Amino acid sequence: MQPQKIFREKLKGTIGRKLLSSPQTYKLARQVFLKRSNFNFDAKRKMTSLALEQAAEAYQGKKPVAWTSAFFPGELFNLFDLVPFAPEVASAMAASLELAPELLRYSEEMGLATDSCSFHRCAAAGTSREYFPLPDFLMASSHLCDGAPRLFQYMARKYSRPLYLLDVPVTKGEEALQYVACQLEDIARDLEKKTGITLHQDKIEEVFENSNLARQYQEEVNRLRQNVPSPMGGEEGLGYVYLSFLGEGHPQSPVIYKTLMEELQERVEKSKKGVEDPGKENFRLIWMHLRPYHGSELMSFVEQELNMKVVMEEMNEVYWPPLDPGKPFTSLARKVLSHFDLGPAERRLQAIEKMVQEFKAHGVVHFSHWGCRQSVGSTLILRKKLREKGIPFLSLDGDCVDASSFPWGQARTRIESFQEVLEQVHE
Amino acid sequence: MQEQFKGEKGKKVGWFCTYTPEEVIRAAGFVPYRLLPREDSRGSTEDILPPNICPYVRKVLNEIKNGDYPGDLQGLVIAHSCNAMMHLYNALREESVDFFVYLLEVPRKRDAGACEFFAQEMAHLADFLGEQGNPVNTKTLREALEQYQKRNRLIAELQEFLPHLKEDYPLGVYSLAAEASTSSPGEFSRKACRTLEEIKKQHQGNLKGNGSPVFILTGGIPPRGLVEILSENDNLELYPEICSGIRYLQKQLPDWSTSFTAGDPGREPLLEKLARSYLDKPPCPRLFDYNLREKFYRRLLDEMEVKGVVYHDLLFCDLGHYDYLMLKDILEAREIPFLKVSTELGQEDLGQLKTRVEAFMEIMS
Repeated sequence: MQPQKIFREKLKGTIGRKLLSSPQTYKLARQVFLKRSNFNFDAKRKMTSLALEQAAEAYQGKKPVAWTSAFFPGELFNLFDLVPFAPEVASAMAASLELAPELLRYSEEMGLATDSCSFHRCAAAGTSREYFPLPDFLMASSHLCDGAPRLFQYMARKYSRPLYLLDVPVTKGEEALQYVACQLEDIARDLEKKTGITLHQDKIEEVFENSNLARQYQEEVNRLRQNVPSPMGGEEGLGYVYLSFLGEGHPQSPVIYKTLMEELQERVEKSKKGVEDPGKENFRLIWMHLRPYHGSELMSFVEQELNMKVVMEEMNEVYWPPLDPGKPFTSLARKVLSHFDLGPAERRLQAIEKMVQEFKAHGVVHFSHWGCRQSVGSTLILRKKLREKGIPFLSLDGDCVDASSFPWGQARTRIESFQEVLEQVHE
Repeated sequence: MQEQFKGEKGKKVGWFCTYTPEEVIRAAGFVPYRLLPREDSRGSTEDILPPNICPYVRKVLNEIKNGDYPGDLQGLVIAHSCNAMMHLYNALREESVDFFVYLLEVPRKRDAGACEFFAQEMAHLADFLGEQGNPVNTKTLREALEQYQKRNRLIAELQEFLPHLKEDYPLGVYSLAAEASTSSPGEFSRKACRTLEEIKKQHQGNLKGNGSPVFILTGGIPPRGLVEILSENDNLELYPEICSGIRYLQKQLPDWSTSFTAGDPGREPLLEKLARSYLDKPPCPRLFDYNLREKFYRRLLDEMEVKGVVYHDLLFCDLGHYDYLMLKDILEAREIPFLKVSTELGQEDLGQLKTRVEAFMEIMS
């Protein structure tokens, strides 16, 4: 039996729920997963180890815990030795462990609208039921989502803990840069007071070095994935999004990306020499947004049954310039403001076109997570613009966390139709 | 014809969110005109916006596409108050409308840095509008500010007489806000002066003082039909704590005449004061300072005799969804009856709602 299945079985029932809040569970899971699981890449094994270690640390409560939402600049946690915990990642985990339906039902009982993002609904319910490690600080950013800051306000109110919200304008320019940089500096100064840690230049250089090295290896990983055939698919690729959420500036991030880079390099070389069969690659796809976490049928169907390989994911794009330790807050602000999903749809469109070109992709699939207004809102414009350029685009409606909002049969039919479109376009 | 079409003839610039500085639009020689959702809109936006995007945005986009708003619309100022407004901006650019579309960033914070940033954004807007109309300088901005100050004083006075102005403002505060947000300040003030003169003459100035029990309508921008249903109750006064109600009308502008007594202060200090006044208006759920919103709710409940609360949970509005969770906690603790209603701003929602609302009103009465 797969470790994940064993873990899932153990978590059923009330005692199982209590186990979720125990650091011992994650220590044990780390041992079981790392020894028994068959990882395609050693980098994935290392990343799983990091994730379980971070979860165990968060539940241990020996170090201050910072709850964070996607795209908040994570270097800040490492500057202050905070243990990051992402309720949105916990929701994905809940979905994979089949705990999400219960949490989603509970969120409805709480009064939270069912059209809200299911990552957030699960997180709100998990907070209310006190499944998560106690936060010392909460941090979220506005730049890609209206829901996350509101969810974090709800959580901060529940725990009466300091909340740091980053207000990110969509307008570009020096004024926006300064506005965000000043907020980041204010957060850092307040963290200095509350943690008793004075921020020294040495520490900034160490954390930024980790971040920049990880960025450099990630760029190299992406460059290797541009090979035809690509050495890595989307199911694997989407797993590394964890590092973008909780690994920015962490010393393990460059190690993991370097390992991945070396493994991909080896695969590319073996493939070129004909030593290893990389598998069929009928079409190459760019994947937008995330994937369902309640099951693996979708990615398996696309990549293994139809042999359409996801060669790059929007979430893995390196969109920011290297950080400058001499100007830490301006530099982090620039990183935040560089996100191509921020602002008018043209920025996202340009990023997609660039990915399609660089990765020699035949089409684009957008997994349209129902509650994500930010991502889904521009899909019709993207489809129109990409079609004008001869790039097939599929917006696949579904839900990353709520399995009941992802009719698999319908999705399967749409993917098959998309494959036919690709065949016609690329005959 | 709805109140929002009573605007002055002239070049109009449309706006949506109450954080849009009408005074800057006015200073450039335009009539600021709020685009409120109509209930009789035809057509669909399904070709450009997915169905799970804010119904307000979808409705106004549809109405703009249909040409249901005034033909003399010169442009739109879209305040980036939430993610849905970004999508409206994207969609309008895609529609290639024959007027300008300007995106104004609005901070979610209220501190000095946010105020400075907002003032800078207002200055960019002023420069842009100046190129489309008249230059926005100290003189034109001051004139516009004075017009709005006068208008706001009259609004405050009118509010005290509202129960006796049913013919002019059948839906009370909601009607008053609709008229004020779609008229030029000059035109509105002229009419308000006449109305006040008449009502004072008729009743010899003895009508002031409300203090009667109220019920609050709060949450997302509601369909007019919901306000109509809620206004049918004669025993309780409706207090619309919404952005097409109180939150628009209670915007306080500072007193410019005492702020800058000597010489020309320049345009930027005026804009900074204007930015501050906008950030200090009654807080809406988009603001990051949730303590402020909570305090605001608590103050309303402390200061008025609140018999109940209707929360309009606009579908697909994340800001409202979480605001409701907070309010629910407060109301449960105080044992104040409340009702959550959800709509997509459509006529079809209202039939089902009427029965629920009437039952709730009976409890409150």
